[in-house]
Amino acid sequence: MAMIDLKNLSKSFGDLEVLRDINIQVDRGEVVVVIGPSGSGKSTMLRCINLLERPTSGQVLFQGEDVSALKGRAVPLYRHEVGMVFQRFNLFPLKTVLENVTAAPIKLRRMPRLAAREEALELLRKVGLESKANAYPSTLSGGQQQRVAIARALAMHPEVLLFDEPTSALDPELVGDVLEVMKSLANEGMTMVVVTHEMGFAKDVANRVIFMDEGYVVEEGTPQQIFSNPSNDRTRGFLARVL
Amino acid sequence: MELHFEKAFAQLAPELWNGVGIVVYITVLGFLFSLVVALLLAIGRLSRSKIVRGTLVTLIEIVRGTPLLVQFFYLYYVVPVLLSALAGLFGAHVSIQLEPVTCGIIGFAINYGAYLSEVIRSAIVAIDPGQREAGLALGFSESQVLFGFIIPPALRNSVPVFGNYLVMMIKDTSLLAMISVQELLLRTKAFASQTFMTVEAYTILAGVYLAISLPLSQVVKVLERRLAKSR
Repeated sequence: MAMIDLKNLSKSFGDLEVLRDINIQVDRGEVVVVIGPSGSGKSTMLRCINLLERPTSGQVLFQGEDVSALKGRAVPLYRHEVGMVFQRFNLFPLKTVLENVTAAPIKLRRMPRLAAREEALELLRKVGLESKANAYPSTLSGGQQQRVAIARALAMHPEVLLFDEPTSALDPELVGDVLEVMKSLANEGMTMVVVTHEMGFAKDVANRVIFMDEGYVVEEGTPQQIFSNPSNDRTRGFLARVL
Repeated sequence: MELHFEKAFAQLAPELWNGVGIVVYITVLGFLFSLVVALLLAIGRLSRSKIVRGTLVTLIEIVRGTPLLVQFFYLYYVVPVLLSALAGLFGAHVSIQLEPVTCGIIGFAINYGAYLSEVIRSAIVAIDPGQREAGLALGFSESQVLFGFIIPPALRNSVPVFGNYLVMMIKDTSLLAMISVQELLLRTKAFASQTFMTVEAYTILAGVYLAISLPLSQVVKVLERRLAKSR
């Protein structure tokens, strides 16, 4: 059974059709990278998975269960299983790095403070920021903030992690550290859906690459297929521009 | 014209000192209650219900559209009559009265509550929507996000504005002289009419207000700079 299964997913904002009949499957342990020009609906597709956007029609299946119809308290409970990392990090500015990471497990998983703290320090070590545990987000670089955001998402032990252009807001020299962390997560078997413009990451890490344009999934395949031998003209055109 | 500031000060100071106690008492309670009212109004205005929002906006506009002094008069002279009449409808024949100081605190809570609710509301709206999304994505509910990640920074960002309103409230306590609260202005007026040291009395009064509000304004400015730095 697929971890995530989007079935005939469509999303409109008023008259604007952003997603048209999207069908995507993501298996456990898979790293799927979604590429495409801006405005192609990549982010909206990602936000439909954790219900930050509600699909206009179609289904979002999570481990076989249709979550797109969930209401009330079931929605936040479902989101415990699906972590998200945002383009603009969105750390909580009044909390320290450590508190950013422990807030959700303490409040939502009812984890004892000490245990949550231990685990948060472990996660921060993993992203190379243990020494910044007591710093406030505003004192960190963008790359550091994004790595904290990854640790924060991991603290809930999600089944899958969604990345919404995680390196697009970073200075070029800071991108590498974040991609390193993502790569090591992928190696540990984390299920990941990554919207990105980092073609190098897609080539090296993705099990599968999906090219989206104008709300459609235009083409999908292994990185090898997509980058060396794209079958669709639009994919070829896009890759010619970005590579 | 012969002025006797020393003599006036010696006689008036103890009076004013007692008045300052009342002013501080009313301001502290009035301001705390106004913050509570403001927060409730601001949260209520985020409601999905159009009726709730419309009612609150109307109430806020009524409060903001009438002078504070008129509101104090209304609380002091009209509200007790209405309450007594209401009690009469239920067969209880009582004459309800409100202490002037109580009217002052309630009046400030309502009036400043209305103004401060706008301050808090715009601070809430100004919080980056990414904060809400980050909270939701972690699995917090809408209300946990509001109280955990939106309102705290919004209140914090409002602190300098709160400070300015606090200074204004201290000065506005002088309006309460009109409903016989023994604050600074009323005491000074009594003193001036008894001693005919009019110039001295009111000059000293103005000085006392300045002595309170200028340092407080400075504190607010320092606070503002600190908050701006650590964001």
